[in-house]
Parts: sequence; C-alpha cells; structure tokens
Amino acid sequence: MQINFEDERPIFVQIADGIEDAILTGAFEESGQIPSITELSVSYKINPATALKGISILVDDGIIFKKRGVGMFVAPGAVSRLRGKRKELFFDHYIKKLIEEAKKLGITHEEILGMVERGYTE
Amino acid sequence: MKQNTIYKYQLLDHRNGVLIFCAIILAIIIFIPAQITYSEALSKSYESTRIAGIDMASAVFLFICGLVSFKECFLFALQNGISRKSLFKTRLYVTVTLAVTLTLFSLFLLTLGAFIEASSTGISYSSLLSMIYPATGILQSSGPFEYLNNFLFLTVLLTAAQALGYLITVALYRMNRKQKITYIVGFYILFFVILPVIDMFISGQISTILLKFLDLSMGISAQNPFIGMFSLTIFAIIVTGSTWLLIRNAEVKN
Amino acid sequence: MNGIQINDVTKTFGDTLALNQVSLTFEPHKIHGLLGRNGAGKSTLLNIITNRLFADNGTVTIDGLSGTENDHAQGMIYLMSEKNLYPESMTCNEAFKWTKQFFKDFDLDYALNLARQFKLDPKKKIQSLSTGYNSIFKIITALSVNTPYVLFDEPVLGLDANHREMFYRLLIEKYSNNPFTAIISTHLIEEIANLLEYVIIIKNGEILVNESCEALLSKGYSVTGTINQVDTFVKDKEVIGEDVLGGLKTATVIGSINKSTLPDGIEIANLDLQKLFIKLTNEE
Repeated sequence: MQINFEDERPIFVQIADGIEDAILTGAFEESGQIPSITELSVSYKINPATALKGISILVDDGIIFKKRGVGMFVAPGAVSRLRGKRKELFFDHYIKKLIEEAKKLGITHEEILGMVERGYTE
Repeated sequence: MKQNTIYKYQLLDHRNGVLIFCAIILAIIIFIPAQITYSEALSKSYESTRIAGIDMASAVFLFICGLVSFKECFLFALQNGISRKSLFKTRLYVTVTLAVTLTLFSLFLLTLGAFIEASSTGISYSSLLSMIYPATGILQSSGPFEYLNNFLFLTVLLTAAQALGYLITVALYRMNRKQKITYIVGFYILFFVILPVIDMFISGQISTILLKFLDLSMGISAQNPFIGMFSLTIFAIIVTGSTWLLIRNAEVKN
Repeated sequence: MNGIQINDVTKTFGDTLALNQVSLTFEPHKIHGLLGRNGAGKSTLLNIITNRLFADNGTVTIDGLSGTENDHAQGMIYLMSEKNLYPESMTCNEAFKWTKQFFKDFDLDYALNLARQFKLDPKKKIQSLSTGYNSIFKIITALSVNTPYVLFDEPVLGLDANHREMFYRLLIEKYSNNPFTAIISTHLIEEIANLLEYVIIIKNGEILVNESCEALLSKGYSVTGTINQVDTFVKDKEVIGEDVLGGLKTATVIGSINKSTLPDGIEIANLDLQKLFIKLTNEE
C-alpha cells in the first residue's frame, strides 16, 4: 500500500483504497485483524484523524468492523462486497474510458474484443 | 507543589556552598587556637589572641550567594512554568532560610568560642555583635540574651547582605551589555575616584557625613544594636522591593 | 478545554515589530503547524504564550485562564524551546527528576526508555550535548511531560533523518494514544505536512494563514503540462506561482477545478504545503 501525496485523491481516500486493495489481494484476510489507527498513522506519517477518516469510510461500507478494545477486523464477506463495488467502478473507470479512447482512434468493436482476447493469452 | 519545588531547587543550589563554607570556618576556628596553643606550649611565651567578627565572613559569603543565584534559577523556573512572582516569593523564603541557618551556625561558633576561651590561655572569642557594640548596656554579654541578640542581629544582617547581592545580579541581568559596562565603570569611578577627590578638596566632609550616617543608622555611638537592626531591616525591605520591581518585568533574553 | 487563545498580541523589540496585533486560537486536541521563515515571529509567539516574554499589548488565555504570571495555567503547558533554559551543570537525569516534580504527570520511565531508544546517555550534562542530542533531550522531555499543551519550537534541529523519523513516529503514537494539543514550529514543512490538522503561517509578525490543513490544501491545485497548454488553461485563473522546467510548466492555482474542462495532456495534483508556504512567504 502506497500513499502518494501528490495524488489528486485526498490522503484519507488513498488510505481507504489502499486497505481495500490489500483485502482484495488477500494481504488482509477476512475476519483478520488490520493495523490500528496508530500503526497506520505512524507508518504513513499522517495525522491520526486522517487515518480515522479513511477507516470510517470502510466501517460505513461494512468492509471492516471495530471490536472495542481489541482492534479492527475485516468483515466476513468483505471480499465479495468489495468485488461487487469495484466491478461497478471498473465499468466506469476502465470500460467507458476504453471505448471513448477506441472511438477516437477508430478502433472497432471487434478489434477491441480481439485485443482483450490477446491480453488474456499474453 | 510547584512553589515547594522551586524553593527546594533554589535551596539545594546553595547546599554544597554552605557546607563547604561551614567546614572551612570550623576548621579555622579549631585550627588557629590549636596551633597557637601548640606553639605557645613550645616557646613557653604567652600572648593574648583575639578571634573576632568571624560572622562577617558569613555576611560576605551570603552576599556572594545572592550574587550568583538569579539567572539560572530564573530561566529554569520559566522552563517549568513558574511565574516571576512565585520565584521571587520562594527566593525570599530561601534568603531567610539561609540567613537563619548561618545565624545558627554562628551561635554554635559562639558556644565553641566560649569553650575555647575557657580551655586556653590568652585566646578570646568575640562575635561581630559584641565587636560593634562592646559597651552596650542593653546587651548582656552572656547568657540567653546574648544568644537572642546575636540571633536577631545576624539574621537581619545576613538577610540584608543576600538581598543586596540578589538585587545587584538581577539589575545586571536586566541591563544590556552597554548599560552593564556603564554602570560598573561608573560605580567605580564615582566611589573610588570622583568622591575621594572631591572629599579631599572639601577636607573630608563627604566621608565625615558618610561615617556619621553609618554611625547613626547602626546606632554605634549610641551603642544600641536595635537601631542597627532596625536600619538593616529598612535597608533589606528597600532592596527587596527594588528587586521585585526589576524581576516583575524580566524576560528571557536571546 | 478552550485551547489557547491569543487576542490582539503585539510585541516589539526596540524598533523591531515582532508581532503585530496577532489574534488566533489553537484548538484543543489538535496538531498545529506554526510555520514562518526565520524571524517571522514564531518563537516570540511561543515565548509569550509560555510567559517567558511579555506582550506589549493583548492577552493570552489557556483554557480560559490568563497565561501571564499564572502558575496554574503554565502548569498545563510545556514548551521545548530552541534556547536551552536548563542550568549549566544539570544532567539529563537530574532534569528529568526535576521536571517530574514540576509536572506531576511527567512519565519518568517513559523518558528513560526514550533515552535508551535515542541512545542518549542520561548521565551527561545537558550543556555538553551536541545540538542534535540537545534537541533529543528536549524532545524526550516534551514527549514525557504529559501536559495538555505541548509546544515544540524547532524540534528536529540538528537531528539526522533517522532521529527525525523516530520523533515523528513517537509524536504520532503519543498523540493517537492520548490526544493533546500540539504546536510545532518548524521549517521542515514537507516532513510534517501530513501530521498537521491546522496550519498557521506567520509572516513579518502577522498571521497570513490560519485554517485547517485540508481546507487550505483544497483551496487550490497545481497543473503541469507544456507551456502553451498551461498558459491557456490558467488564463483568467488566480495563479500564485509558476515553475518552468524545459518545455514543461507547473502552475499553482487558487480556486476549485472543474475536471470535465481539463484539457488532454494536463496533469493536476494537490497543493503541496511546502510549495504553498514558499509561494506565500516569498518577499517579492
């Protein structure tokens, strides 16, 4: 997980996104514990309030939950919920842009499909 | 609690100095009579020796203690959130504590002196008080009143001496370098050049007046130590008041 | 907890106006960055808050109590100052012990533990320490004192990168375990930018900026592209600074951005506190 201070996304969003990525790749397992606010703040040298803000997004989304006095854990079913959410975003972020760019370059529907096939085989 | 701490800190600052001072004085008091007795015993010639006014050393010592105790304590106090007011107040307690401590030491020396007088030939011991006021009628030369009078007189004297030292060091702290040099040099020129020269031309009138003033204020001609104590008290109050005026606005300097 | 309130504070040194009618509030339980170039008045302000200097005019209140000559109010504050106020012959150990007596919440064990971590020999006299270790001694005291308000004046002076890193780590740990009000005056802005919740920028004795870091940084953005692209884009926008590197230009713009109007080939980035600071405090 990397924080890029020049990224146009605010830091707390980057924190949330970073943790989501870690859950999706399996670095943080379902029901497993994730680093505390303090640990996150310390390792990224950010204000704990910022880290808390990032975590709160995930708590609100039901991706992680807090156990008072113990720590924070990845919610069971978080991976599938994240996948669902990311799939929607995938369409917005990647497919729409892909088709936009393809139209500019005059790439046809079939050509794109061909390229996708090639992408999987390479 | 914080005031107790800064009081303790200031007092501890003087502990080693006081212990060393007392040890030296004690060594002198014991060593000199011992040495005299020994050499007299050898030569078999007896002369009278007088040990007098050793309390004056305490006054000088405490004057110096006052002189070295401002800057570090002031900065340390501010670092620890102690106000100038509390520092000043606890300094007064320290001043009185040290004055009483060394006064009690002097009273101990008085007892020791009496013992030395009694156990030797020709050695006499007299306190500062009985040196300045030898013929007083009020003063009893022995017994509990001698101790009480010595106690009062020395406590006041030692307090005044410390207060004066403290005033000087605070005043010097408040001055910038230029002012410091001007005041120090000016003081020397005034008291050691200008006044003596003028004094010479007007046939010693200034020194006469000064001596007269000292005599009156200390009650020497009148041989009344209480006049002296009163004047010293007034002096200490004025000096301490002036010190407060200077400490009140003191700042950390860069 | 009302924080520290500075009301209309003015301070002069001879003919120099060090602070000019400064008013601001340091919010409780937040980390504040007090930024300014050398001689801007940062230390003067911190010294007035801690009763080491007197304001010519104006007042300072700490939790609603006057901070001037007030032992109780000053008992809630610890300032680690650039200038060393500890006595010449005092060792670090002695200083820790005295500090414990002045501030009852001072954690002696924690201090000694930190001394070990920083490899500070507590038996050494404070005045004999190098600049870096002097800072370390003061950092340790400030981190162990546990007053509701802790003020750091140039805390990382003379510290190497590792020790600076340690300081930031310890500060965050301390703060997130037990939030306190911190004011950090420094010129190494880049390193602490993301720690700060509030930013106060002071210039020639006056407050230039006083707001939350997030609000401040969202006030603008920077755009990078070819000179032509950038010039066209920033026309009729408020530009506070420009850098040109070869054919590439970066402009710092104040205002919000409409991403749909962003032409191809132009990259946008968040404002950078350090760059913003330099732009704002430059004399020209």
